[in-house]
Amino acid sequence: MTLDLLKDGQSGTIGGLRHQQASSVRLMEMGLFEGSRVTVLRRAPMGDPMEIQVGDYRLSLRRDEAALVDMAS
Amino acid sequence: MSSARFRVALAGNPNVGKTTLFNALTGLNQRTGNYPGVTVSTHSGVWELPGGPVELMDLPGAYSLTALSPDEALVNKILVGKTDQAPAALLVIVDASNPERNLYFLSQLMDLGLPTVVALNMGDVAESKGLKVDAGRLSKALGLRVVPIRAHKHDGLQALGQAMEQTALEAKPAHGPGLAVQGPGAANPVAIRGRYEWARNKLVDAITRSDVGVRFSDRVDKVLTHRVWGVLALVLVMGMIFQSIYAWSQPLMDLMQSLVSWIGAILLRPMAPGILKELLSNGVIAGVGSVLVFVPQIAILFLFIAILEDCGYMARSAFLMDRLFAKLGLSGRSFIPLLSSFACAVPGILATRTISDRKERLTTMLVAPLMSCSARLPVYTVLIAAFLPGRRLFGLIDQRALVLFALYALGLAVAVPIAYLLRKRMRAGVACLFLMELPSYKWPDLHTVLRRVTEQCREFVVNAGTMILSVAVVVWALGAFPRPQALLDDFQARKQTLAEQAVPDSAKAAGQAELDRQEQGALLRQSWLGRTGRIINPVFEPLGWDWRVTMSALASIPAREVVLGSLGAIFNSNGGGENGGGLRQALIHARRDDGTPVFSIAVALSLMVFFALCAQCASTLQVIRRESGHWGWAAFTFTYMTVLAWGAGAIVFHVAAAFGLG
Repeated sequence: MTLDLLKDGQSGTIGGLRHQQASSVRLMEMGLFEGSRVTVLRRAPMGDPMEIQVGDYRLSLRRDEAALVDMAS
Repeated sequence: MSSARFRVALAGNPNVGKTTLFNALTGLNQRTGNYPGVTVSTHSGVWELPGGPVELMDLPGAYSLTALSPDEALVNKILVGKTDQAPAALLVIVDASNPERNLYFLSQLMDLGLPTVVALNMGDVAESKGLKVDAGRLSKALGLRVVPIRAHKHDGLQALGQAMEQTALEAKPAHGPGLAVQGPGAANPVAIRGRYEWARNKLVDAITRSDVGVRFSDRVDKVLTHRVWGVLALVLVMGMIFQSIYAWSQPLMDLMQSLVSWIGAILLRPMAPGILKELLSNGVIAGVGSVLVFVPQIAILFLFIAILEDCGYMARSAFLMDRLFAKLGLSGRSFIPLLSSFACAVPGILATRTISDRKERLTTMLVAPLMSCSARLPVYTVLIAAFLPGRRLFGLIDQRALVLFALYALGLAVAVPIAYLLRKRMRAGVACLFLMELPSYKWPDLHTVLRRVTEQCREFVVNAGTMILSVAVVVWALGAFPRPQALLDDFQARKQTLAEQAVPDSAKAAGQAELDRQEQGALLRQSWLGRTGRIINPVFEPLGWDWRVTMSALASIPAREVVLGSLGAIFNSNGGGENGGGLRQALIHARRDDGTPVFSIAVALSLMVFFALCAQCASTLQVIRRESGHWGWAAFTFTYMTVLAWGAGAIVFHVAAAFGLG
């Protein structure tokens, strides 16, 4: 299960990140790493990108970026 | 800044009020974007500390010292690389409403070991989230001076100055978690988690959380990013922006234009008619006018952009539109610059500063001039009115409206594959991330907004203006020289004869004006511009153009709207305003050297298509050069658009001719 598959309004804990050079580093720096709680708030009109709550702020990321984030089952 | 005792760098995440703080501390009429993009720059100002002035350097907003964007690369270079720009102390602005991620960056900055002061901003936003960060406790945990401020209200600035003074005097280096700040050691999961761990520990005693339920900002966000309501709101906002630059700016532009000609007239009145007067009136003053006429549009667009950005809506509009642009390798950030370009490419290209990705910004900049700007509209309307029959298709749609719509759609349709190709060629190895923070909504700060507007206008006039002016003067000279004495004498004699005739004064004046026009036309026809038109006309023959049309197109390289004036001059139109019937009649009755009409529907169509796609705008090209940081991109834009325009014009001419419209 990856972050992009979470439904709107659903929360979860991150299990880990799939390694992909610069992308995964920046995702982690933005607070998306193992153990972080995230909530999917909504998706844009055409289903992409998605808006998530991570820590104390809101982040927009594309689905293929969210697909790099594994959720803890 | 030579009197400054030492240099302080102001660093922090994007969207935390850094620019507002910089402006408040320095009072300098300067602005740095969060995303200066291609030509990344820093701004410096003087900060008066209790012990005397220091130089404050505003760094671009960054999330980390591991550089992903050009902005962050610059921050890295200044802070980590040992350049002569290295600061003696750091002022780090921290967003109290999002402390953890802000402390992540702070931890890296502290590991640089410079004397550091923290400005704790946005306490009000934090409170609305149920967050409270105690500056005293945080200060103790970090071992740094932490000063709570409200940048937009200018609160706490004095305390901040004192803190910086003392810290700099003590020269005590900051101590972070002691992890690597660059290289593979910094960009690895263990280090990143280590820094977040550190941030949490530092915050444990300083932070209190309470439940505040659903915030106002969140409720607003729910509507503004909604599938239906959000899109509707976006259409409304964009409609208003478009309307304002397209229509509402018109009176201001007219005012600007008449102001310039009024001042010009006053300056020129005492001058004797002659070549110097013509240079001033048709070269310099017309050139100044063509620069200043853009100012109202730039001001209005940037008023909107600054408000939308400052209140947090800009990121939402990018969020809503991203999917459409993702297919082209762009992102939602390109939406506003491209939409604005339908009014005018100049402010549109300036608006690409809001795009953080360098290549994406460049691509957007290079396709922006393809959007049909308002300067093309008069060209379309005159030609359509003159040569297209107002028949209705299916008894409903006016053919002329359809052609007008098609011309607008053409630019857009061509931009899609061009953007795609450019983006494909430019994409280097590094994956493009579309991570975008969606900041809390807040009321825009009037100071920040107005500062941005004036800064933008000033920059355009000073930097682009000089170049545009010189192009205008050069093209004027090409159209004004050589001036054969025989021709001038001939017209002088005819004017003399007219003056001596026994006719009413009103008829005399009309006759004089007519002679002036004919003289202008005759001079233009044998000028260098006219000769060049004839020489290179074979190049434009596939488009069905007569040499006079070619010459008018050449003369309109500085600004496409000039074509109406030059068409008028060369076909000796009796004026009547640019949209007036005089020019229309002149075009309809214009004959080639062999007596056939210059214009047919096919020629009119090819000319309009050429204008729709060609980069005949010195201002746009100059702004592209400025914003991309290289002449090459302006040259590239001009070349690709001219080639496209020529090809499309030729195709349209031949297809239309094949349908018997030639």
